[in-house]
Amino acid sequence: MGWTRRLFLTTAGLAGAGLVVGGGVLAVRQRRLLAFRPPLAASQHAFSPWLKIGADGSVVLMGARAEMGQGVLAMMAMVVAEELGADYPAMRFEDPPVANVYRNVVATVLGLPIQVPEEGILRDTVEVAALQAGLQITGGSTSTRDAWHQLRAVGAGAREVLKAAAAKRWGVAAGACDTEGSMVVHAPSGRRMGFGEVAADAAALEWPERFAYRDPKTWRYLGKSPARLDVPGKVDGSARFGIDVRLPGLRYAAIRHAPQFGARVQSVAEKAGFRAKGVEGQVNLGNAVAVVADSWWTAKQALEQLDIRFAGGSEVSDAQIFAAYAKALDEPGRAHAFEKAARLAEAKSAATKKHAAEFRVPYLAHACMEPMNATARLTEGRLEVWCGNQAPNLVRDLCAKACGLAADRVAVHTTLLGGGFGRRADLDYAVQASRIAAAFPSRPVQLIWSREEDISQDVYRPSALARYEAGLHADGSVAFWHARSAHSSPGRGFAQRNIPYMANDLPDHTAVEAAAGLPYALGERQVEYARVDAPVPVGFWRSVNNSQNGFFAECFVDELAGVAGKDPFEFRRALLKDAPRHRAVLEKAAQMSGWGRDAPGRHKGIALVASFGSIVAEVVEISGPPAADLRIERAWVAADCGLALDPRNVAAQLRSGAIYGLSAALWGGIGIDKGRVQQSNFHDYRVLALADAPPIEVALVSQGSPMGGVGEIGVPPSMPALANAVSRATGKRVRALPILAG
Amino acid sequence: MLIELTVNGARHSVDVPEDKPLLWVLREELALTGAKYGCGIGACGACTVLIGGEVVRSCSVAAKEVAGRPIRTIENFDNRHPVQKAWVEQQVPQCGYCQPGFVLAATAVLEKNPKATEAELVAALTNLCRCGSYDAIRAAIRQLAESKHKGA
Ligand code: FES
Ligand code: FES
Repeated sequence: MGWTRRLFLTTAGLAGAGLVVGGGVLAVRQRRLLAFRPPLAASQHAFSPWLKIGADGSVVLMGARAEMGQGVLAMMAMVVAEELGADYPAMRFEDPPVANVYRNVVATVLGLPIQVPEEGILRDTVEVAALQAGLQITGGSTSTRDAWHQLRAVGAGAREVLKAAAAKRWGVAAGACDTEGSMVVHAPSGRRMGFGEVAADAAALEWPERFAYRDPKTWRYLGKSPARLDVPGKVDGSARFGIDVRLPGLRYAAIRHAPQFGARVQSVAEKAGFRAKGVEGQVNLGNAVAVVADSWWTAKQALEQLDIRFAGGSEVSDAQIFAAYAKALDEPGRAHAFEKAARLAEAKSAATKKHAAEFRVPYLAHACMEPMNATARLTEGRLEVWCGNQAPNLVRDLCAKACGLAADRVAVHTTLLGGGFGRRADLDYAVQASRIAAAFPSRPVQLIWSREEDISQDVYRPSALARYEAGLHADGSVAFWHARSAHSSPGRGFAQRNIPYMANDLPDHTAVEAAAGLPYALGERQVEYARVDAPVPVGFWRSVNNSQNGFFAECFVDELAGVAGKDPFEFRRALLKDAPRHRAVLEKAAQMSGWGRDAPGRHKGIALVASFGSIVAEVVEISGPPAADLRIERAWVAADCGLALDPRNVAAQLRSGAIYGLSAALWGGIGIDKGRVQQSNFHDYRVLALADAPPIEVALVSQGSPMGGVGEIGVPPSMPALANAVSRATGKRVRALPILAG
Repeated sequence: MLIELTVNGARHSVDVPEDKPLLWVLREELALTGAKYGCGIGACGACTVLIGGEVVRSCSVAAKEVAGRPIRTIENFDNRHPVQKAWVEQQVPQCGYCQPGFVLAATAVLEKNPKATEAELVAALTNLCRCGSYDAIRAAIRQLAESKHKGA
């Protein structure tokens, strides 16, 4: 029984001891949560915190997740509409206030350092706690799983009370009624009644103790990929992103950060030209200076008219950082073994062939298409913040703290995001906007980072060094697999900046995602990670640690195939003898791509990475020697993500992830010299354009697997698949990224 | 300085700094936010507008230089335009931030040459999409190219 239903039972006053999770404290917490109602307009009625139905028949979903291109709001509406029998194309979204009830239960449970079983008292306890203490986060590829968990019950529960209310009016049995097209229907008599007409009655009813979900065979929307509700506005320019917020009296702020990590503003002097028309002033933010004007352009020009001196700051360069990684791997006992082989030394001496390789990857920027920005207004001790963000409760708490306000004095309005990719979970830009607005009371101020600031002040995917070693038995099977890597921890970096009370020095198990727990038969396996803190801030970059570990492991398994004298696909396939789900996905990708048959001048590479509960195999085909004329010609993606609620969008996300990864593998690299980022815009942080992008064929492999994530899973295999293709073409193994310099 | 801009058929007189790019005049003075800021250096195409049938990256042209010329922004198109219809039918957008720029760039190509081929369109669309919606863009382009040929 999902928590949602239990919550409803509690609200309905049916909270018999057996129905409330854990009783006692938890029951009190639940009741407190359920005291919450979404804001209601006149003649609107609440059906749980997530859903409102108006007397006019309008069906409104509280869209408490960040729409950043993954189609999450449309998907949530589809899930609700399906069970509710609502007319999906007519549904609307509203941005809800920040509240515990909207917290992402699945993300919170998955983020715990312990495995929580699917059922039972531990699960119940953790889920209720997650609602209280979790994050209202859009990340970790969890939104669909969370919606499936929470919103399906919302739709079904609301449907039952709507049916009951209409049945009462008609004097028929509720069981003889159904819903469709936002109407209750009584088939025997042919009677129909719009949701709006019974909404008031239905909202007053107790939610039923039990209800059935619709038979998937009858689904109208799920699995059918109806047109996404967010698409038309994104084609006609009416979609509103954070940068599009327009308020009366709006002012704009441009910002210059200290170019060196850790440096502070020492002095700011206005040059003669600073006070140009429209310039209203400057704000010293400690590590940055912002100028406020009646136009962003004017503010940006005025920044040039400030003489800003920065002091302190790191002098670190990539060479030193990589030396620190190497030292950490050289030092015995420094790395933590997340997977530990019982007899590694014996396996090493018993292996007939051994192979070792060292890999390195650079820092990477997110480069969301919409640069970081936020709008804020502080009026009489009340702060309002408008921005695209992946964690509204953190926006509220961090901005409140920065302005010395209680959290309940802050309202957050989450707009559409012009890309998130993990960047917009880090909320420096929102905090800055709040602090700037605090210097101009009652005036809304929109802070926009220039692209140059966006690239050079990111929280980066960490650079990393890895040493892999493996051995083969005489029969070609793998005797041992020893993987070691060193880099900074994105999770710890994120926590330190945003949730310091959660930052800790415990071994970061996410650092070995896609390195530990590989599906292959690898004999004695040991996987180690050494955390190396560096002055360069690191954060969640689409697919996080899977992005570097997938590259290391899948390049190395490819190398090992070469050592064994086997085809890289056949070699992997043999190693997957005990992982039939993974094997099926690998086989599908190979089969789609016509593996084994290369046209003249073409070369293919393959890779398989399981992440976020899903399995993805990709094949990339290139032409040309890997010089400037290297071309990615085609790609094939096979994925098992469990039930695909919106298959067309799942395919779009897989392509999106592959393109994101291919851009990074081919050209992506943030270089650090004397504490400064060397790249600044798309001319030196190059990304794939339409003409560079390969057509990508996608197949979903359905084998009854549990639902997995989708938004990030296409990224990790794309990088090793490309590298493996290049290695094949040149006969020289790719062991460092990017493959080409921008 | 005071300049006259003709945007989507309407005349506006705006008082702007000498070198203020058209992008920021559209977004700030005229509240036409469909043209987006992506790079400011003419590299991404998010700020694309049409001026006299030509594709212009509005971040990189001073408003005063295009005073009096017919400027069209995405707000001039109401999703009944064939390019937009193809974009909706193929469900192209992901985050959507780059899409007005792509739609306008494709529109300009087809206005000049209604029989433009898929390859010509791909070559002309040098905009960037960080969400990697390129396969969907290609599908929309193909749909447009094919329907043009059928109509001929
Ligand atoms: S913002 Fe004008 S081309 Fe990028
Ligand atoms: S749809 Fe997001 S940048 Fe293109």
